[in-house]
Order: sequence, then C-alpha cells, then structure tokens
Amino acid sequence: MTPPLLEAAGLSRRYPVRSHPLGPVTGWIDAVREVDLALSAGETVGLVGESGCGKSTLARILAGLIPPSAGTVRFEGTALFQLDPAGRRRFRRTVQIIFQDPFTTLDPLMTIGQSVAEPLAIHRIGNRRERGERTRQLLGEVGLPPEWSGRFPDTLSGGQRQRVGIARALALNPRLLICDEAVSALDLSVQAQILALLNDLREKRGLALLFISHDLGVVGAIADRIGVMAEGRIVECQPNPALFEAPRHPAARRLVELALEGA
Amino acid sequence: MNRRGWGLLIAGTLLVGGALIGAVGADRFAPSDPEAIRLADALLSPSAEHWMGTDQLGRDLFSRMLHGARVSMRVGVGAIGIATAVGLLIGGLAGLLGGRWDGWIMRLTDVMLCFPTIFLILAAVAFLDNSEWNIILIIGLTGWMGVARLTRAEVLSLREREFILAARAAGAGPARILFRHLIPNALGPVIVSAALGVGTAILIESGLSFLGLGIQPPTPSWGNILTEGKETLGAAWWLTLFPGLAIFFVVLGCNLLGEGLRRRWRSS
Repeated sequence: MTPPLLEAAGLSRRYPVRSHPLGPVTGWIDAVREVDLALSAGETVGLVGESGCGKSTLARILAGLIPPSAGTVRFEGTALFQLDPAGRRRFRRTVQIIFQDPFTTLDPLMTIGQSVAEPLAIHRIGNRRERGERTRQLLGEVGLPPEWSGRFPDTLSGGQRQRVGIARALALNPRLLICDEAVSALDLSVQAQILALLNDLREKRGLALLFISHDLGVVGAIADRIGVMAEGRIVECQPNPALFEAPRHPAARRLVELALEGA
Repeated sequence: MNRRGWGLLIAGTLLVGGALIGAVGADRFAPSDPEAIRLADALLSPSAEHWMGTDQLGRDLFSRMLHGARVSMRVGVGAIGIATAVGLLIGGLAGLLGGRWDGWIMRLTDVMLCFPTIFLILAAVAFLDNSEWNIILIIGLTGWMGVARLTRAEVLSLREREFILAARAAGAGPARILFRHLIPNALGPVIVSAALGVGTAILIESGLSFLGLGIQPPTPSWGNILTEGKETLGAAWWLTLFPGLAIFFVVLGCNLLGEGLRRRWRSS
C-alpha cells in the first residue's frame, strides 16, 4: 500500500510563558496536543474548531512554518522535520498555504506579478521572462486578467487579493494546499466564488486540500471528511455528511447547531 | 490632501536644498579661496565686496561659509547614513530573530542609549585623530539606537503578516525575508527619523568643532568659524551671527522636512 500523502502522528506544540523576554519560564501553553491526521492525494479534509483551538498552529506545523514540540510529520513516507535543507526545499514545493486576511497576504510594495513570481524566484525556476509568462498563466488560472500583473495590491478587492494568494501558492505546483481560514474574511458571495475556484483547481490539478475554518457550513461545502478540533486535540473525525447527522463530541454538536442555524 | 504637510515639506526642502546647493557649488560660488590669508583686510564688516565680512586673518567669510556647508552636509548625511544602516540591520535582526536574541540585542541598545552620547563622542575623539571621516564614523556609530528601536517595532508588527509567512512557506530564507520584505516595509518611519537626525548630526559636529575637537582649522566648518568668531564677538558680530544662523536654519530645515514627511506618510 502506498503511504498517504501527508501523515501526522502525535503532533504537539507548546509555548513557554515568561514574565519578560529574558526571564525564566513560568508556565506552558499547549496549543496543539497529540494530533494524528492523515490525508491522501487528491482528498479534501476539513478541519473545524472554535477560535483558539489550535487550528492555525496545526496548519503552520503542517506547512513547515514552525517545528512541532513533539511528534512527526511524514510526507509520502519521509519524515519532514528530520530532512536536510535540500530535502526541506523540495518539501516546500509540494505543500503550500493560503491565509485568512486578504489585506496582509500580499506585500504592499510588490506588484501582484512579483508576489506570484516570488516562489519561482526563490527556487530559481526559469529566467525573468519565463517567470513573467508563468505568472500571467497562473493569474489566468485563478480567474484574474493576466495583464493585471503590474498592478499593486491596493488596487484590488479582498476576493481578488485572495485569488492572487492562491496563484502564488500554486506557482510551485504543490500537491497539497493548506487553506487556513481562506474565505473567512470575505463576503458570502465572494466566499462562494473562492470555494468554487478551489473546487475547480482540486479537480483539474488533482490537488489535495486541508481546509481549515471556524465555520462548519463553509467546510461542509467542500470537504470529503471533516475533523473537529477542541483545546488542541482532534476530538472527532467523520465523513462529510455523516458528521452533520450524528455529531458525538459536545464541541462538534455545538458547531453543527451553529452551522444549521446559519443555513 | 494635507496642505500643512506640503507647506512643511516645501519650507524644509528650500532650507536644506539651499545649503546643499551652496555646499555642492562651493568652488563655483565662493568669491575667493576660503583659506587665503590677507591680513590687510582683517575684520572688515559685510560689504558689497565681502558679503559676510572677513575674519581676523582677512579671509572672506562668505567663501568660508560655503565650504563649511560642505563639511556640515557631508557629516550630517554621512553620519545619519551610517546610523540608519546600522540601526536597520540591528533592529531588523532583533525583530526577525525574536525571543532571547531580541532580548539581548535590545538590552545592548538600551545600554548604548543610556550613555550620554556627547561624552561617548568626546571620549572617542580623544583617542582617534579628528579627521572628517572619523567624526562621521563616531557620530554615526553612536546614533543608531533610535533607528534600531524603530525598525524593531516595525518588524515585530510586520513579522506575523501573512505575506511574510507565505514567503517562508515558499522557501524564502531569513536574508530574503529581511531585505526584500521587512526592511522595505519598515523604511517609511525610518526615513522620517533620518531627516530629523541629519539636523542633530550637524549640531553635534558644530558642537565638537566649537569645542576644538571637530574639524581642525584652517579647514572651515560652521562650528569652528563660530569658535574663532567668539574671540572678537564685541568687535565683529558677523563672525558669529552668520554661522549661527546657518546652523539654525539648516537644522530647522531638516526638522521641517522630517515633520513634513511624517505627516505625508501618516496621511497616505
């Protein structure tokens, strides 16, 4: 059997509490506690939880942005945090992440073309002209006019910026895209458009998605399987419609009620 | 549109720009050699021939003021250039590394900030020869702390922005993050403080030269012209008035420029 695309085992992340930066550690905050999670190629897994439950910390560990305090992340069977720098770089190309806030997701001093091309520049892919060509192609793929490549972010709406963020994440042809509250800051109609775009990309590119949100309704619209997080743990995990019918954990029941009220 | 911001900017630019033009064109504009001694013409009051009069040695004060502007501008801009570069790097690193590194770097900065800078400079000048380059270096290396604190504060607020995280997720190293994203985005308030700092650096150089520790005669600087002038203050008012006014207006210009930039920045 082939190993899953991504497999996390016993992931924990704790933060020391100090009274001042050079002071002694007076306590610990456990943001993520012993999380196990597996994701196969092309699969969309949703992760819901109230704010402060550790979703974003988990997303950042899985994206390789922060190391876990304990546990392992395996990508196609290779342990991520034991890799040498070259292996890390290869991993970077296969897992990318998009974020919540469309207003800070792009460097205000860079044109959107420069932002989208940055991952290519970092990995020294192609020359300047080829990168420009690829950038325009990516902008087209996320539904933006390719000739906007020279525009600055302050001329774009929130939904358009979020599309640029997606184009940047796609630049390295990842196999897994982590969406950390990717539509939470958008209007409902724009939310639906971005969700449709992600669904479309998933089908065309065979992309796996880890879709993280506090809103179960949004996750229900896209995920094959949904995990519920509370106090740093994944307390429940069920296939998509099943969770709505029979939530077991109190946190899951609360989220389902909220989602049904909103619907 | 912020009208007052524009007014400050224009006034500041005129004052500083005037001094800059005088400094750059000193050779062209100066009616005579600033170091040519003619004892027969000593202590002449301002006239059509000597616009600002002459000093004890009969040297043309207007010529000396223009060449002195050169020193003041070079020291002001050079020292602040060094201070800004050092401050950006140290503050940027502290903010980027965070945690304990941040703690130690900022304590060091606080220690530097606690020294009365003028004594630090006086001590350093006593050990080194007081060439112009050394003075630029000393003023620069004792003036970076404000920029460092400013940069660190900006970097701390920028560091968790999502475009920084996205760049890291794409594989950007710390050097790229610092020089491509953090420093350019932190530069606005730093430029404002640099404009204000040029005035301070010019004042420090004038102070040093006034105490005889700065630029050495016969090379003219506004500070040492003032020193020489104070010996004949009763007889020749022009020898202290003109350098005093020059320092006053250029420092004022720098402050207006800085304040104007700050208002423009905040309104954008």
